[in-house]
Amino acid sequence: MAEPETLSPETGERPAPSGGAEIVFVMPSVSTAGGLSDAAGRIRQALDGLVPPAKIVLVHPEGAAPDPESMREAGGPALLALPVSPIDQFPAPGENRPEAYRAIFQATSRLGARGCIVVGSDPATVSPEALRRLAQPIVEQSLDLVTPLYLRRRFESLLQSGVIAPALRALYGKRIRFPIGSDFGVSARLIEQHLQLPAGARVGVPVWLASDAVCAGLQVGQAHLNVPIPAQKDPPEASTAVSRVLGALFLDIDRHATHWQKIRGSQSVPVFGTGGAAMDEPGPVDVSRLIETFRLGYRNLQDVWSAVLPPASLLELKRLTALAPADFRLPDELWARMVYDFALAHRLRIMNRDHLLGAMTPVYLAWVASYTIEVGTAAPAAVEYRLDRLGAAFESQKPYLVSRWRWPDRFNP
Amino acid sequence: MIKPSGSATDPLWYKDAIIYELHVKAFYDSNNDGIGDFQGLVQKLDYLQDLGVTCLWILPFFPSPLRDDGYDIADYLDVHPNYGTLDDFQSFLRAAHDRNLQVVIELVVNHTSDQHPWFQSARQAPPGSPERDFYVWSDTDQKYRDARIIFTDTEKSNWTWDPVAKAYYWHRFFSHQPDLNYDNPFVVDEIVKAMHFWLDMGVDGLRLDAIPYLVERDGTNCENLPETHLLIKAIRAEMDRKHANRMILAEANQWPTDVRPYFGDGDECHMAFHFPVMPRIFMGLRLEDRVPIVDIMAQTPPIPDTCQWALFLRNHDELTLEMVTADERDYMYFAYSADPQMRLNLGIRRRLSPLLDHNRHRIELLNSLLLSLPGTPIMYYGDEIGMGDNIYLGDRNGVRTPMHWNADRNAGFSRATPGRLYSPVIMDPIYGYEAVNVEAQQSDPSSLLNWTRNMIALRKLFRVFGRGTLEFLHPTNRKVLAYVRRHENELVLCVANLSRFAQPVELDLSAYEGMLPVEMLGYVEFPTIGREPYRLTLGAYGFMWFEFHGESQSLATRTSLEMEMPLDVSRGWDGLFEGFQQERLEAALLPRFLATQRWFGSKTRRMVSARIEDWGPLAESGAVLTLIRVSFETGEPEDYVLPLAVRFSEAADSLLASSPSSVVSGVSDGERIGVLYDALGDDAASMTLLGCIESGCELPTREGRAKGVGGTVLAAIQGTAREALPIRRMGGEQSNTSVAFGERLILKLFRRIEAGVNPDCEINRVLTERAGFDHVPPFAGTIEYQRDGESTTLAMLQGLVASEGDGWTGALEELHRYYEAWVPRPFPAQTPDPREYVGIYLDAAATLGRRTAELHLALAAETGDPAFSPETLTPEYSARLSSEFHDRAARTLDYLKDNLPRLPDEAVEEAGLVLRRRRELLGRMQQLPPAMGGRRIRVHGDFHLGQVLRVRNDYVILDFEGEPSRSLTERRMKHSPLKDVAGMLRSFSYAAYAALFSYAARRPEAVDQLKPWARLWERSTGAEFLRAYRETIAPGLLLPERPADAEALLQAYLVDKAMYELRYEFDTRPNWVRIPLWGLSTL
Repeated sequence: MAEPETLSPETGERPAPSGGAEIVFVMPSVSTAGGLSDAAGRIRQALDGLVPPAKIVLVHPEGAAPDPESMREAGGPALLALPVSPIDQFPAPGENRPEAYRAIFQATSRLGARGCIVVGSDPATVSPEALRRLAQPIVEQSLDLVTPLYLRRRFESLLQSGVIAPALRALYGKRIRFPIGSDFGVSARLIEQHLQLPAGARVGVPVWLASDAVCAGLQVGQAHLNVPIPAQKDPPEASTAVSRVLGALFLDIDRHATHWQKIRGSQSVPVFGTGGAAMDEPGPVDVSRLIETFRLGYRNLQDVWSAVLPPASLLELKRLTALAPADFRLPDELWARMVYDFALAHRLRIMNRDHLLGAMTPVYLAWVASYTIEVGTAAPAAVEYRLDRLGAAFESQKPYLVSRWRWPDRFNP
Repeated sequence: MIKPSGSATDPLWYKDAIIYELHVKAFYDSNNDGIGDFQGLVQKLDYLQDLGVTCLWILPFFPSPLRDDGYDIADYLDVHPNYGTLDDFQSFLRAAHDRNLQVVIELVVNHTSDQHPWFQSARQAPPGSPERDFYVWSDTDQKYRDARIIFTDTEKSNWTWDPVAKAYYWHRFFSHQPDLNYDNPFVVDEIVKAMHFWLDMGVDGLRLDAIPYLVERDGTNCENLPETHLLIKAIRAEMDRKHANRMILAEANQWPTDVRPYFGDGDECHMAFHFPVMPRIFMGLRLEDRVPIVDIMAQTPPIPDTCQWALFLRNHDELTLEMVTADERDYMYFAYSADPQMRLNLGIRRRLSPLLDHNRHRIELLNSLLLSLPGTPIMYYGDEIGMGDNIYLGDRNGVRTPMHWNADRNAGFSRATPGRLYSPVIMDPIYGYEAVNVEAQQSDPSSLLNWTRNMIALRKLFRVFGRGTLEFLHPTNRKVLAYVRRHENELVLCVANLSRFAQPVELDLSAYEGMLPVEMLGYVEFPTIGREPYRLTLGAYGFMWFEFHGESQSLATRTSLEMEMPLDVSRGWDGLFEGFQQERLEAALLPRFLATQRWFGSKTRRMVSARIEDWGPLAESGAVLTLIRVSFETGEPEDYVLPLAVRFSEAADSLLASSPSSVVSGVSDGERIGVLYDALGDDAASMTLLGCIESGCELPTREGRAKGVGGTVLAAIQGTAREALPIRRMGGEQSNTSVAFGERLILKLFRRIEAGVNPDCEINRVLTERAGFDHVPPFAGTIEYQRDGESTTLAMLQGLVASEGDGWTGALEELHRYYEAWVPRPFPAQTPDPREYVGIYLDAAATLGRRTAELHLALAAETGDPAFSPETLTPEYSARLSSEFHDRAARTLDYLKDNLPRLPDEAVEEAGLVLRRRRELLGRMQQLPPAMGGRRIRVHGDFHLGQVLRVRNDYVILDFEGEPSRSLTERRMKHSPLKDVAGMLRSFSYAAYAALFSYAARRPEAVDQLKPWARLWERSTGAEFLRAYRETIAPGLLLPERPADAEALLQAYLVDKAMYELRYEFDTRPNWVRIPLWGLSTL
């Protein structure tokens, strides 16, 4: 597909500042004039004293119909509409598409801005302080990627918490809690690096945003937004979500294999702001369906799992099928090794990749069930510690991945 | 002008390349005419990409009569019809580039075929015409007589008579390959045209064949002439003028020093084959000795940064033995070519696998060397599956047979009638295509093909192999070859066992102390490197590659959320030391904290956990005292004491800014953010510890109690004033932490603790309270931890001594003045009077001698305490001492001998002198008189100038703790007081020479001049110290009665101490090894 032209002066309500912009805001979920004005006000307030309003550009979808008069009176920020195509394609949370990223990155690059802030959450819920925490590290502290820290319920965003975050921690040595959050800030450096890649070089869920930054030696931070994780409008089926998210992760692992094999241990990244009060938590969750799906998978997917997993893991899974729900526990180390085994199978293309990812869903649901039972009604700090232990398990099992990656012999324990 | 680049974006791509050498005719036949072709090669590119090679070197494919396998070129600008067309070549080139494979082709510049139109014109053209001068003609075959004949088996002369031209023409190879005449500029133009023809098409590199022979001059051997280099520079300049990111690979079968000029200043060839290393790898393997390999690499000169050696095990030619000595050549023939049919010219025409008797381990070992020695590896087609050869095919055709793709007819190479094949396939039962082929090995996970693919992938992960420096290690076992490669932050150790049996090896890796070796194939962590020799055992023909990492992974893995997830202290210390918070502390936070503390002794051991064994509040201070047991992956656990406290808000920020290393973790009480930190940085906690001693109070803990005990002189030290004493933390300590209270008291917290009597406390207390010895800081109290009936000293309180610094610093300052004063003057011819030169420091040495003797007398005073009662120096003890000293000295001298090559050049001579005295030194240890009398008493044990303080022209003696790495029992043993005397005498020697080094750093020319001055200082201060010591100690019975016995014992202690120093310096500060060597050569 040809790349869409990113900026269209004809459709912009205010032209881009003649001296260029310092920071670009993108709020894909704002679709009304009122919402746009409100967002503009919040941005002005957020960046007060940091960036002159005239040097801020707010990119919005065509048709949002902002009130140019009021914007002019307010002195900024400038508004620029992207052509319909990329804005329409801009992802709803959880539906990220690379074309949209490329479009907004190109817009930022052409404006000569220092960076770009994407706010995927409902801007009405994000405080000016939180917006500032996303922007300030980019503008003032030379960070290159600022990822969000959300108020999290214990069973939310488990693909991110249970696979992406611990895997990226183990692989790239950076502890990023929400590496594929919908709210983030990126620097011009990271943007330029991305734009040097051929179109289509980065596809799928943007796991690559963090890994590309780390592999290029760029600086990553996290900002407390004190908002919940943005809800998805139409959450996909579990198998679809697993396929999308883990497919993106596995591609990323293959892409950066020479880099992550040399990284050991992990470090925290700078955190901006402090976390807010804990969210209301739901009560106990019934995991019997998850366990049943896993057992069904065990019966039906033996051939696939046998091609991917070593005998010791298969034995563990067999034992798991026999456990009562109350005792159902999938050890972190086993889970980490199985994620790595599937990543290796994905790399070696031992079967159709869609089938492979589909076959991983029951295993993932087994981990979800185990985690859910274990966490139960634990306090937020205990949940975070639990997830930290999971990250440590992914780290401790990384030698397993490296050894299998380097010596992909099926004859292993 | 933007120059068209090849397919690679990195101009130095060839440094990281894995080159695969193949012949089009031998690879795959697409049109079933029995000869491989470019279309067939395209069909096999996926195989090559999957194998992991990055560059293809295609042997000559140009029109040719094929009398030298294509190296006899008849047209430089076309493709031999057997292999396809120019279009086919271009299709191949595109397909290779699409797979990120670079392509190198041949540019045979030395000669053409005699069928080349240039030669046909030349022989017809009149002498002196430009056409005639394309080649080298002579009326006689006596010119250039000094040039050797290369193809000795087939050629008798480098000249051949041409009946048409009626003249001799020059040829360094076969007679049908006349040499081009590069004195003719038209020849250069034509060759440059040919080069641009292929580079314009997109070819990435050119192998320049036989380049040492391009130019001939009478009176020379016609090899490597200056004119040849000018010519190559011109060709390179032409390449660079029009093209980017291309490469020239030189074929110059010469010694490395002769090949070196072909790199020029980076303006001739980018790469050159390293011919001599190849036969030496085979030789080293057969001899089971690394020396041939190390030796040739030592003879390999450095090359420009943009240049690279090309390494190979086998290629399309014979295993050439031109670059070995006659004896080596004979050995190689005996070793690798039992059948004379295997020999050709000066070489052996065999493939890799048959050369190694089809032994998989040997093949893997040699490939591991190929992939890890400095240079770009070149693999010959078929060797990745262990193909065999056919020595009966004539010339070198036996190693150029069709590739084995599968077990079908013609090995899957061609569907032609077998008789039409350009060469029969290998069919013997061991190497035949039915047994050895790609298809079978692809389906065999354990095949050589899969092994090779994995090894190539591994090599490509690390740029260090292509770009790194090389440093050989020198283990005593010569069957083991070990070397370190380093590039930027990559550090790799390669170890190879050249023997057919398992071999042990001890590697000196002390330069990498603290690093973690990870075996690269399986990513297996090995023990952390320490100062001791690193021991490995390798199986028969085994090899190991290690990547070195800077820190222990096990700790990093367990490190937790750090500051981003503060510990919850809202429920106080109880809440902190239970449940998952305790788990976090013990598994992650405390191990990480301890590993960064200066006082933590086992930094090179792999920590598993740091368990809080016991804890209790430090009275009202808000802090707690914790006792922590640190467990390691191997070995005994260690116990540490750590007071902890919490600060919030601005106080926490201030601590983070001023002393971040004291912070264990972030904390939160729900409202405020703060830090958990080492409470010895907290005034209230420090005052509590002091108060505990002053009042003799008890601090209950969960499992025991800590009890303060004041010394008898505490009240006197404190005086009557009751004002709050300012608190300051002392720096510079290694294993403990001290806090000073005003100018009166100092509290030393012993960080690593052990149940039992602490010798530092014990001796200080006895000297202060019983012996009345006032040249130690007065003992003022202690804190003892009691649990389960055992007592452990946690801290000692002493009177603070106002000093002018320690004795070591004072000696260095004095020596600096001394050298400054005497360096301009020649050392006096007559024995000088030391007092005239060394001056008042002799008085200081005498004072120290007196104090040392007084210390010993005090320690020997009868107190009724058996721990201090002097014991007779029995014959049994004397014999044991003699044996210990002798064994230690013998081990050290053996070590010195084995490691002579590692010594700095300037120390080798002194080492030789010491080794020459081996018998005498060892004899001295064995000659300790059995019944010499004297006493064993408690001594300082680690006595040197750093352990004394200078106090108004006098000395105070410190630190009776002994060596912390030893057990309390060992540290409390009794010795002859001469042990301390020897320690101090060696310390004078150290000071003299350490100051000399320091001085010489600025004035290196003064070293030799200053040595006699250093000796004068060392001897005169030592003599004065000894004189005063003997005078003072004389009334007692502590020393052996007969002066000769005392002298023998002292000398034995001195030699033993110097031996210890020698080993220590060897492993830690090789540049200082001269100090103990000087000592041992003069003792």
